[in-house]
Amino acid sequence: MIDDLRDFPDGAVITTDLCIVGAGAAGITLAMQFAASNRDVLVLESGGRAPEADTQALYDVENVGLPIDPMIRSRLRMLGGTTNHWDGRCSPLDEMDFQRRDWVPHSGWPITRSQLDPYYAKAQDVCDLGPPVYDDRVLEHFGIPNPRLDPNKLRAHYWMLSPPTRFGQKYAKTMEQSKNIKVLLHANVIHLQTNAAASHLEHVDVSTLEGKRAKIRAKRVVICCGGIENARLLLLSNHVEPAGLGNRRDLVGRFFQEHVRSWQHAVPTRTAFSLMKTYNFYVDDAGSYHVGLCLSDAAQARDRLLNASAMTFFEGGGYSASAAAMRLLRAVTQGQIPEHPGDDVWSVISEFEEIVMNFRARFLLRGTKWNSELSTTLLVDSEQAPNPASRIRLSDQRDSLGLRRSQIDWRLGELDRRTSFEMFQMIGAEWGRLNQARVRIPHWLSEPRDDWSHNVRDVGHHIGTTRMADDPQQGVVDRNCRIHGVDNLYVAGASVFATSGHANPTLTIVALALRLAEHIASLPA
Amino acid sequence: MSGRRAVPGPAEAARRRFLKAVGALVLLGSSGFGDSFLALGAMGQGKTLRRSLAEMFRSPRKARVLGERYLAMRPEAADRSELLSRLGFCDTPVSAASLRAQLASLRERDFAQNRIVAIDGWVLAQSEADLCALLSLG
Repeated sequence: MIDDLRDFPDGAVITTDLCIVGAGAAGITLAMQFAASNRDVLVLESGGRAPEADTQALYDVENVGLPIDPMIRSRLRMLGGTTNHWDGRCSPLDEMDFQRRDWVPHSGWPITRSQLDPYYAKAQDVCDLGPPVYDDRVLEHFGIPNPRLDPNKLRAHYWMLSPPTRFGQKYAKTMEQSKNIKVLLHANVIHLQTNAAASHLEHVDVSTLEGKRAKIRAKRVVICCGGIENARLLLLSNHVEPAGLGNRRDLVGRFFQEHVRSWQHAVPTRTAFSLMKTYNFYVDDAGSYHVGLCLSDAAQARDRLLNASAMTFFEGGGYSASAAAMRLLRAVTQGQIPEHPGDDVWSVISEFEEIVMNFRARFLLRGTKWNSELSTTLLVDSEQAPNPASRIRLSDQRDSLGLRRSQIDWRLGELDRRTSFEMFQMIGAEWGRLNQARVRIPHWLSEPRDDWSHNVRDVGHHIGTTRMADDPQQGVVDRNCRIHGVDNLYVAGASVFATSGHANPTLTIVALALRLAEHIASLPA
Repeated sequence: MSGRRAVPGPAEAARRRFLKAVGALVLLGSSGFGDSFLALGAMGQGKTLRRSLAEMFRSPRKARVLGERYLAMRPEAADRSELLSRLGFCDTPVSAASLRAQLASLRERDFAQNRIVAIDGWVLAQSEADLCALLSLG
């Protein structure tokens, strides 16, 4: 059933077995696991079925750290959450991502990759990915040339591409028809109220934007509001614990991690096709894949680096000066007017050298096959080292509900810079060895400088703010995603990741939600 | 099991303009020497070497600039005979094809052994940097 809090009387009290705060990838996945159970599940969603500006504005933040993209690009506050505009790129974290690495401060999860593997397998179905194939079988299946990378430096990396699944659309019908799952739209959680010892959550206070209030009494509560909002909600819930719920050790909101994106053009040595033949998108009935590269475990350990991946994008010939010249020539000889004469003329003038080189390569230097009509962009996404100074706090600014906004202070360190730099350098060395391309390292990555981090871009993956650790001194939630010290409050989403790896987080978010659902189902009703 | 290759993905953050600046710098895999012989023994006479080296690059002018920047970074490398020796050039006449193969082998070895030099951010093999330096020395 899908209801709207605006249709409820003010001051309503709702009781349920399991309350899920947030109807995004984690929240919906969790709820769906109880669809055939005898437990009552209430999913609280701040938004409606479609985007609404005033609800979306509740996500506005104050940024005091490194530049970040507008939050609208990475967070949607509506049924289905951010899956309403994700691009579907999936990859599990590597085994090494879960391990403690002595060169990465605060690394190590309390669970291993193999413990998560069964849930990764199920997450494939949730995300409409088909059977999990994240290894060299992709090469064999599609007859892709082996990239012949030195395993001491790099290896091929495989992403699978979801259609992408819009969780709100795909699972709405099941939730609507379910007898035990109720979704409450326009229900903004404004406070999590515990007992006096802050050891048990007693109720959840919710409000519509118009001010209609309700109280949710649940045996267990899971907050699934995203990597920023999960921390914010805990920090806002400070009636009993002044520093915020679960925050006795000042860990909530700390270790805010992103994926660190940098990019540069690479120039194919012979033709771009030598790269395109391998590093490309592949689709068939079994699934959709993208082949890229990542640092090998050996390279990470030897050079004391974080994890990182790279993908290539090829710009088609229509944009080259040579192609523009050909279009102009064709139009003149045929007595026609080119479609974009201004652009083409400018392209020819400004990049005339490319035309000369292409002409020389093709007609004067016999045997050369250089093709200027494709350029290659190399996109590097690196893991960020967990850093307690990179954090979410509460701003003094307030939203329309009167709640303090999130203040984001994203910070990067030298290990982050060095990883991105080494990744470019290793790809440059490998593509040089194979004589496939020459790579230029972005100049701002080349030396330790204070301003380098202002040139990278965040990817909209908000990670680590309620990190998982067995030791309450080291993390906010335990290995079962339960808040340390609170017996019935759980967290789902990328905020529980201890480290970020380089992989897009949604598949891991879903896998962890499936694991949490199994855990909660195993507890007495 | 046969798959079809999809259309390449979007060119995220691509800046075609950039290609203009860098495309000319790349060493050619095959440089178009044809079957002509280079009298490497006569390299000291200058013209043959300069011309031959120039033909190794898409843009000799930019390769010279790269060489100058490399030598600015490492002034001690501005030793012509040392550069010739490091590149394995000797007094015996060899064919252009042999020279190409020799340089390709050097390049591959350098990259594999991480003997790399970053000039203006370009990741080059040491032998490539040496070639650029040689060209710039004239």
